[in-house]
Amino acid sequence: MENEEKREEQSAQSGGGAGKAVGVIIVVVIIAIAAFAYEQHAKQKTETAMTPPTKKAMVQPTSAPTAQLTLKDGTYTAEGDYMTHVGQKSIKVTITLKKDIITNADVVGEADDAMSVHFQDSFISGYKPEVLGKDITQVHLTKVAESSLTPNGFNDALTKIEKQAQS
Amino acid sequence: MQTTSLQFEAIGTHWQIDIPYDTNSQKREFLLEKVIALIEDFDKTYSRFRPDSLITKMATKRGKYLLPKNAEKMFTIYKDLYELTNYSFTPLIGQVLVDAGYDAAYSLLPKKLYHPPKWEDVIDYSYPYLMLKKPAILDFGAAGKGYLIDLVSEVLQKEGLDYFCVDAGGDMYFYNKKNDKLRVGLEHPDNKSQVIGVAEIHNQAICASAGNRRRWREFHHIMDPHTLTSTHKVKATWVIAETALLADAIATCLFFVPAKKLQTYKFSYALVDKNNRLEASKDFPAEIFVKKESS
Repeated sequence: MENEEKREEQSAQSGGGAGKAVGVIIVVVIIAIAAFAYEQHAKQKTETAMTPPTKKAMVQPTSAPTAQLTLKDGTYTAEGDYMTHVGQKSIKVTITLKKDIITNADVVGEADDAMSVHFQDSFISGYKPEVLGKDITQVHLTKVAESSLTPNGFNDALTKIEKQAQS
Repeated sequence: MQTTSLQFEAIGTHWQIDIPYDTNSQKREFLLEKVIALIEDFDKTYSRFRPDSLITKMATKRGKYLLPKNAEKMFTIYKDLYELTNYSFTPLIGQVLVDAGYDAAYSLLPKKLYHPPKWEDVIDYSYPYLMLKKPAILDFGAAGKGYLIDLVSEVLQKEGLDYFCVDAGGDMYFYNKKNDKLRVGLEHPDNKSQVIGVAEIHNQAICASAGNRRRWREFHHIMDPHTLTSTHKVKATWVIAETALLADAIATCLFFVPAKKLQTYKFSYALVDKNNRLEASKDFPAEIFVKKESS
């Protein structure tokens, strides 16, 4: 991790140069998080880490993003590579942009060793798409994992109490 | 796999145990009796809703209690998770639940709440003994059902069944000698006729926890001992693990602490936060439906 981080930014699927800039920003942020997470981890294991990471590992964007950008709506994908002590690892980031706001983000980790998978996981889980409900009948299921059915008597009691409260 | 099922009500929930279709009626009868006896025995020990249980006795009298043979795994995991969750996951929440109205009579009338005592001030646990320094209402609702699912599954496995699924009100363990997996829907926290995804399990348990059921006043059944309010950052959790005890316990812990705090245990999970945002471990074996915004 003392090696300088390498970052590549791939072309956007749609959108123009401005879209690329967003890709860069996202990748930079993610790599920064990765670097931070790694550093935190390494701190706990300094006795085993042969080469402790330094803050220099942060990535510099090739072109600094300017303050006022109006970006085209669309979906952009970028690949981010970063160097670890077990070699180069990468992540793929896909974002959907609408009126300059990221409406959807998807990060796919492409690491194969356990530790990188672990760290990629920890920040992949930081991305939070909104869940979508589908009717159970539509999905054809016989089993549903759910919070326990309400115990017998609980709802009765609740109804009674609500009635009391109204009277 | 064609199955037949044993169904009954116990510990306040519906049980459905799927077993191979060709199990003869004599064996079915035998299994049902055995399982019900086991559940009755467990309930008689751990239920705080029964006047004759060991837990009810503990609530009235301090002293040294001999725990049943099967107690060790559950007590040990409770003690460990108590530490890992910054003392949030605790059986001593019992008194808080009762005071909030979630008592044996379901009075659902909240009284003044007090912070539960520290584990070490009340409990001295060294298997097979539990020393209570003062009487305390212990609540094993966060993992007890999971553990009971494991105990039932153990019985079925010993009986040599090639296939079974023990489903207790939506928490379940699935065993199959063959490789076929079981598809399990993940209930939408706001709409029980919908699912937000489908998980697949095999020789594993899946347990869910949510604040959408057992709701009264401003409370639901997961109480934070530090704030004395019901947790609200997380709406629902699903955990897959090798035992239902672990899956059930972790499903509650995720209401209190991030998953990475619990990494000494092997599990995968998904959760929906208060904004209906999904968080999931990458190894969670499920297809999850998420909104794609149109561009």
